[in-house]
Amino acid sequence: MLTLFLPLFLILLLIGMPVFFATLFAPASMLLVADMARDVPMLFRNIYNGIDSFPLMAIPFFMLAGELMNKGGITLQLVNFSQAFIGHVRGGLAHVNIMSSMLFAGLSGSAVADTSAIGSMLIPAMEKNGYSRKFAAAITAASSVIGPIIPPSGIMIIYAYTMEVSVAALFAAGVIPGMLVGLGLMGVTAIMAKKYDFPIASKRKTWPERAVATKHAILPLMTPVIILGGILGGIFTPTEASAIAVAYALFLSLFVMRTVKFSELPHLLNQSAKGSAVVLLLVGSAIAFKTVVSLSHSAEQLAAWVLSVSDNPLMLLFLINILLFVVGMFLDAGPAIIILGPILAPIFIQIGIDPVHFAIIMSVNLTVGLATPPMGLVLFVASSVSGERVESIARSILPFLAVEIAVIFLITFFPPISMFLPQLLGLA
Amino acid sequence: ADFKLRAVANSNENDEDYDGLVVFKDFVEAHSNGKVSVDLFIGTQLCANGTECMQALEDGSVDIYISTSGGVANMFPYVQVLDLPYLLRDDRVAETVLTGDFTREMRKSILADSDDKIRLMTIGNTGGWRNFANTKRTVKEPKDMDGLKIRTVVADLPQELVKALGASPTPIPWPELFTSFQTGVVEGSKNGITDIMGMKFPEAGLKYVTLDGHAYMSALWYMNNDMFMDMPEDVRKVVVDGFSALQQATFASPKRKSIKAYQEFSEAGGTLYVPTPEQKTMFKDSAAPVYEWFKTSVKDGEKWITLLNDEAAKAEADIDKAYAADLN
Amino acid sequence: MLEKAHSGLGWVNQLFAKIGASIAWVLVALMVASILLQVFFRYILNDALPWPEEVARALMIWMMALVAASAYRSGSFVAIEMLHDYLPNKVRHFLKLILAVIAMLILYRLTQLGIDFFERGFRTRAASFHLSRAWIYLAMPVCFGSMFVVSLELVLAEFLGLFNRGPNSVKDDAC
Ligand code: NA
Ligand code: NA
Repeated sequence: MLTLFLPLFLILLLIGMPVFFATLFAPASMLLVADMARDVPMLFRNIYNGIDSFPLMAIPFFMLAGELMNKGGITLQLVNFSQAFIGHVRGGLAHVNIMSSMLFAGLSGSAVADTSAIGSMLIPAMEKNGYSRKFAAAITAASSVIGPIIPPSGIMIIYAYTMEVSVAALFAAGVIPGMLVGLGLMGVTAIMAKKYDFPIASKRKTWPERAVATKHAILPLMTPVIILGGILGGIFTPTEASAIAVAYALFLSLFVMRTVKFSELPHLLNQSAKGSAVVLLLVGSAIAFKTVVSLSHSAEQLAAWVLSVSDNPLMLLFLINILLFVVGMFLDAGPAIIILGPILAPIFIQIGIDPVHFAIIMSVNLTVGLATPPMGLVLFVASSVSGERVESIARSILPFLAVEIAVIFLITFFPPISMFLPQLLGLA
Repeated sequence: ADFKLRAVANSNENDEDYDGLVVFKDFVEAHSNGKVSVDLFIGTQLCANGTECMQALEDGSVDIYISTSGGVANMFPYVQVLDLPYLLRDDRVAETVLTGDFTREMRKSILADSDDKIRLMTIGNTGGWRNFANTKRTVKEPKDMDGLKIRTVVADLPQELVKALGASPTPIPWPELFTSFQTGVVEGSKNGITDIMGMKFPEAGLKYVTLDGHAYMSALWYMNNDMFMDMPEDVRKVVVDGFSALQQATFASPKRKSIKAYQEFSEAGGTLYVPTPEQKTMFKDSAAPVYEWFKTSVKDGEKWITLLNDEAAKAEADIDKAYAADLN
Repeated sequence: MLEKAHSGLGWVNQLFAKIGASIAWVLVALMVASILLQVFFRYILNDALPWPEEVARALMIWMMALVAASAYRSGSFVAIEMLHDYLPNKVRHFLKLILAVIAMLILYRLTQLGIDFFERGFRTRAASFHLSRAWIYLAMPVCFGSMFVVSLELVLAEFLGLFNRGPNSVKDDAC
């Protein structure tokens, strides 16, 4: 009886109930029907428990650091830096867009921030340079999913928190897959550039010019070194590192680049407060949801069913990727991880997949889901930044999605891609 | 089943708590002829920590829960009497005290302070004894502790103890402890050996363990009182017997588990030091400020220290009487 | 009459959003400061403080509580509205009204549970500083209570929208 909350949840989502309310209403109403009203207060307590967490605090902090960096003109320096090195090749600005996303990923934990920061700068520039607007928006959206794959990453913080895996290990494991996505996108871009004769952005820069661009970008580019060096070296916790990232971003934007005024700080702080309030409530409601998953024993039932379908790890991984991809089309990565992680991860750990490897498979897959129609959050942001309709961006993004799906399967079937770094650092 | 009990332990299936629950479940389900069933929830599936799980217990959404004394110190501060250092001599004394009237007294207080909602069923063990361990040197007496940065949980009593011994308390979350040893953020901890080996701390440099046994790692097992009192008396008897079996299992389990842990510790290059009786007395004397702190800052502190001391003295006398008979 | 109630609620919600925003940014700043203080004491002075982590968590919960309502009001709670595009106008408004009413009921119950949670919080205190946990828990009924008031406005807006008598969404006039 209680297990009916899972289909009910799906129906509520599909008829347009906000994810936060559906995650609470579906389990609560089934508890009432199943005569388990005494468990409703437990749902509430777990919303609170889910939010009252030190690891999660890294989310508002990384969000704030990202806002400060973007407001602080740091995005511009990263774009200039990328342009100095690859602006002269065919399809230059498209490549610059991807490379800037990879660099921005080292500062920011969110794909949405990446899309709005890089998109608002590069989409107009690309249009002026002769690209179609929908192509510019599509490549912005496609490359912005690198944001939460290369650390820091809000999605991996959520995964680590709900599944009790080391954040440091997940961060280390994300580095190579993130670069692989970037390189894959650049590969498709190169092919398309040749076929459709994409424009060149600028003539080849001289080494002295490159040195100047590097000098301007060097301070922002130090951020990932500080954050990752601190976390992976075991000096800071991820939350501490995120607070240090905020301090560093403040220092750069207030004193070095002087692009943010003190009077603008309240607004910037409030923006990140609002953004993180929504994420925190979603995490809280998903933790409450997870409680009912445990109470109903639906995870065990599902595991038994899955293992009865097949116990071949390769086959199951293939199937799970398809499932995750479909889920990612409809559900935001954060809630999807909290709801599905506790159900799926134990099955795969049981058949011998490393917990960190599975975490990366799940995170990367759901992250790519941010850029897939119909519910890709990043598509909507790209649409509002560019003014192009979601549908036409969704069509232009297909070749890039194909590469990203290929990378997901590479990561899935070649564990060293994700496991090499964490193992090298003694984290997994 | 007429009574479906939901039991929660925030640990994992390698823990003594789980061993205890398995024994309890089997005992109660068999001896009640199926009238009682027990559903185990291990980990943080239903609730994540002492404060929240105790509230779930009060609400009746959890029926059985186990906490350490530290886990409920912010609700029932006096349970920390069990964390006071060097009051219980050894396993035999601790086990005798905890099977006796001390637990019944504590049950009365917890019932009174929770509006008759929470019933302390029994007190067992989880992880043996707490000892001091560090990355620097062999600690033989209190002065060797001088200046060491010792990791404690965020709670007053352990911090007072570390200060009293001349070391400096450093609160570090448990999952970060390994890297903190590596980077030298902390130089020591106070843990049971199974936890030390479970976390592979010797690999991070934690190589000196002093068996000072400063605290018996008590595990308090509670039940929702309404659920208990709603049962007919014969079923209540089965449940009480079940908790007694659980208590015995948790007394035994750490002893069995620590053998392997100590073996692995010495294989990992660890040094074990057993303080002489004189040195143990020095430890106890240095810890005196903690007793004072407890008496003055915890409500009814004096009463609980006296009670525990009296019960320990009684137990020691009984055991000494037994020695007289057994040794000759 | 209903229009009046709707705009009155809008006024209340905007006021709360303003008050919340003027406090929330300070809380964020204090959160950052306390974690930096923790890092400074632990790594530079080699003397860890026990309280920054717990204080920062309490600040985060209050930060959330003060801005959640305005985030809800400005439509930041994501939903899949794909189906709505395929529904006839009347049906869509009716569905949206039902969804808004359910959200309102959920928030009402959450507020009730939050008050209960707050009252019981007096029995426990924070682990690292001398404050009853109730004052941290109070953020939850404030959060859900203020969201409940927003949901009333949303329900009224949908209701008026059903009869084409007013704004069919508050998103338009949200801050
Ligand atoms: Na990132
Ligand atoms: Na991009």
